[in-house]
Amino acid sequence: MFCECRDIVKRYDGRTVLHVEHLLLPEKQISAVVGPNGSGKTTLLEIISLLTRPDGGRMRLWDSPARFGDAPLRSSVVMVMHPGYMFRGTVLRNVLYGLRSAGAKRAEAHRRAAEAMELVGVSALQDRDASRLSSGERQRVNLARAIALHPRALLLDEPTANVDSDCIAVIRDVLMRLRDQDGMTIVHTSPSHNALESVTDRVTELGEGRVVGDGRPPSSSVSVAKNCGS
Amino acid sequence: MEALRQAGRLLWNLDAQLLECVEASLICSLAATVAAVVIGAPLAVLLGRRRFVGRKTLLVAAHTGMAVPTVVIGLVCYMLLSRSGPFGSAGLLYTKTGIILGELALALPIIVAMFASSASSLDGALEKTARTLGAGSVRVFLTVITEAKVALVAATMAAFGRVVSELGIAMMVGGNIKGATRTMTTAIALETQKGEFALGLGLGLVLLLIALGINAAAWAIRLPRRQVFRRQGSGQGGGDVL
Repeated sequence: MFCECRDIVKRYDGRTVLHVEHLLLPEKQISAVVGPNGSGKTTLLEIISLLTRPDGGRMRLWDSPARFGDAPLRSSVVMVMHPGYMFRGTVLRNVLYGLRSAGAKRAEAHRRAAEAMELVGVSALQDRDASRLSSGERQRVNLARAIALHPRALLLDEPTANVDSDCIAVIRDVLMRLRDQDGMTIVHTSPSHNALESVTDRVTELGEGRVVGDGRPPSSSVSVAKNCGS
Repeated sequence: MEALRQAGRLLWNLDAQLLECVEASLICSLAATVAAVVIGAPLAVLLGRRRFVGRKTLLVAAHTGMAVPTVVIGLVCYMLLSRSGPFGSAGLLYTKTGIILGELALALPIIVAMFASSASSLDGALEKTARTLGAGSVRVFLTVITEAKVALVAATMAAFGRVVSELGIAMMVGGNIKGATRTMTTAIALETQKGEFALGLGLGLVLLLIALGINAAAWAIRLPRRQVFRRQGSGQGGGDVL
């Protein structure tokens, strides 16, 4: 199991924005967290990636207790923000950013960056100024700089928002390949069941910060079971 | 015109008295500016990117500090460093170190106010994106500085321009001692009072050259980025530059 959450609570300004009583996210599969805006999807992803400290509850990652600030565990989970910030400079510099933070040697960093850019189809853009990318290119660069870090789990916040169908197809193929060939655990969020549904193994529905459904995607033979655990 | 010709000759012959003043000015101004950047940049990032009690008060103080006349800073520094002042025992009055401290008080608010304003205008997702990619606190902080480096260069140039051309602090704290604390501006003031315009004009020309050098350096720092944009612009059907 990749992640197990129990009674995870997050409050902002005294208002509870997330209260997950129990949630299981499987390892080496593609899971989707769907729900309307403000349902707590991004907050949940930030907590799972150890970026945001919950106000209560317990979480286990790969069957180990997850503590906020646990650096080795933290580096195993990489979250791709939506829309994400593009650093000044070229696409290559952006993809190298995380590798340099991780202390990768120059040659190794460039090799991994080249691989990641090749995988998402942005190799031709490597010398392009990152501030001048279209939303689809930007999303793929976002993905490339996360993939370059070779995380065990990749969390994607609304990866198909504001991108065209060609880009969605690329993202779908990349995620499928990462799961099937590299055994990577992937969790993505979306406001509704979306274009990644065909490669999604499991769906968790959030509503007003609570899990309201959990199961197989609607397109599969077994649909989402309303009310978690039912 | 005769004074101008004499000023030209002093510059051409690298007059020792002139060089002494230039050296004292540059040492004090550069040291004060570097210290202001080292202290001010982290403070500016804190003020620009974090929300905490007293933040607005500090920002107002920094902006107010930009408008304080140099003679007032000179006066306060004089009181602090004079023999009867709280730091009198340090013996810093009428020394270059004294001038540097005074000019630091002049440059610091400029760096803090200008850079905090630019840092606060950066996208709010910057730190979070950096952290998602594994950056620690120091790397995140350095990334904020890098992302706003053009603004930091501009603030540094503005601060250096202000301290190198100030008179009040150098006069009151430095005391205009020949061969020790006589800076370009205090020398210009003294020579003008004596009716000797040649050295004053020569030093004025040096100040103008320094201003030119500062601006040229600022443009040189920005140039590579502009060239990249130009190349890309032409590749995409001649898009606009900057």
